[in-house]
Amino acid sequence: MSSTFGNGGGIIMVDDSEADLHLAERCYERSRVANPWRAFAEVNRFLRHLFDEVLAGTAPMPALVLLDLNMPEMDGFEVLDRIRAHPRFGELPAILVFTHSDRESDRQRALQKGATRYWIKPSDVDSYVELFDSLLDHGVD
Amino acid sequence: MSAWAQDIGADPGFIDRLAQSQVNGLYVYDVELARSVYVSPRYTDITGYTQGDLDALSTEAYFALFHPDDVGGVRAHIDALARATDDESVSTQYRFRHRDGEWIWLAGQDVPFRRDPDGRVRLLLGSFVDCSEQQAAMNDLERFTYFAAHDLREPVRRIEMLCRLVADDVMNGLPAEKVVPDLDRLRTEAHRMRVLVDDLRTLCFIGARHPGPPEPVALAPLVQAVVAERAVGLEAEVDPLPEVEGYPSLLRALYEALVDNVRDHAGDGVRIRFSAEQAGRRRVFGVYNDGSSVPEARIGRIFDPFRRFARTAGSGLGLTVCRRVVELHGGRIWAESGPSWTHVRFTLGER
Repeated sequence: MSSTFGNGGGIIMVDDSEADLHLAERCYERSRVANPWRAFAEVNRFLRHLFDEVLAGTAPMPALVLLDLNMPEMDGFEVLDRIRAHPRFGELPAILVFTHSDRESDRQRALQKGATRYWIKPSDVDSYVELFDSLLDHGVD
Repeated sequence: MSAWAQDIGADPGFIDRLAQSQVNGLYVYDVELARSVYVSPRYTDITGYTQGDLDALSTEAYFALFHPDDVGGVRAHIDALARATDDESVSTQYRFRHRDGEWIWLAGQDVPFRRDPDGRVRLLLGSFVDCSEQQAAMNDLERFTYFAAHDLREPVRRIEMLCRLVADDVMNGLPAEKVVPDLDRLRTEAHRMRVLVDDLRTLCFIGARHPGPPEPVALAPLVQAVVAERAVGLEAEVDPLPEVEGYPSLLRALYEALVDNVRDHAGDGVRIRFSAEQAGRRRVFGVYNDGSSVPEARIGRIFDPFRRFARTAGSGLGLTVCRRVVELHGGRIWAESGPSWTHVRFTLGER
């Protein structure tokens, strides 16, 4: 049985790897989470979505943003800075850093810059699905 | 035995001459005073410090010359020597602050030299060599291996996941048109791995082979062949190119990698120019395109391995291959860039 979590808004994944976006979406389809899924391969398009549409109220506040750290145009830390610097986005949306980096320094830095949580990308389908399902039981916080 | 060799050890000049002739730095360390009480001229060459410089330092300042990460190891090394027998020697490696402020890597070996009346080791005799260059090469190698492993792991991980997804879809009876796109993705990931492995092989091949004498290479037909094969879809323009001294297969690999780089970063339809200009007595070659740009802050690092700054199909080794080829020809490679153009330029050494 599927259901939504948080405000029922979308889950937005921001990642420069089109291959990783696809795999995450395929795993998401297998999870029980029913929030709408949306993917951005370009950081700047995601920021425009947030700062234009969400701020203007023409798009709902996302329930969760999955943010990669290592991206060529702008790294995840800078994205965190930009979002959290805006008074409307000080706490929401929940931003979950979603990365391959298992470096403790990256984790500390991401949390300090306002990431809600820090997840290391799983390397198999079952762990991916479990990770998404855990959102229903525990939410993001 | 030569008469000249008799009583060498008793010659009062022997020790001084020995210390002067060493490639290693030599020192005598006093365990009680916790400092060096004798350093050889070569010690001063390597580290910058004379005995007088060291005498002027407090014990604390003396130990601050050892890198914070290594000083514990150095103290343990001294303790081990204090317990050593006279026929034992103990070796170690550590970073040491040169008098000009730079860290240098030293590899040394020490022996107990003199003992006090109670038999405790009082003086140590030690020697060391500067191995900073080997250490730097090791760090490059570690970095290289780290990124190569990372960049191979990514496609492997995706292939594993895609295999699982495809297997489930097939078992669930999904129609072929639903399954084939993921099979295409599998192929793409396998292809990425092959490109990387091919480039790693090219780098090994360039690094390992003994190039032998260079030969005359006519660049014009070589570049024409590369254009015909690789620059399809690009608007190519070739300056008059001379004959150079070099290695034809490597020069071809160089131009191929430069064209691939343009394709990866600028895409189809851009203008690509194979330049050759005279700068003083030197010929400067290059590959120019009017469809890509490198930010100022990154332009010095684009030839380092795995420095990918954009979402490209390349392995991140193409420009490293270029730099290696140019260096083997005794030349230099660099890049210039503007808002919508990039010019990778290189020399091929003096003729």
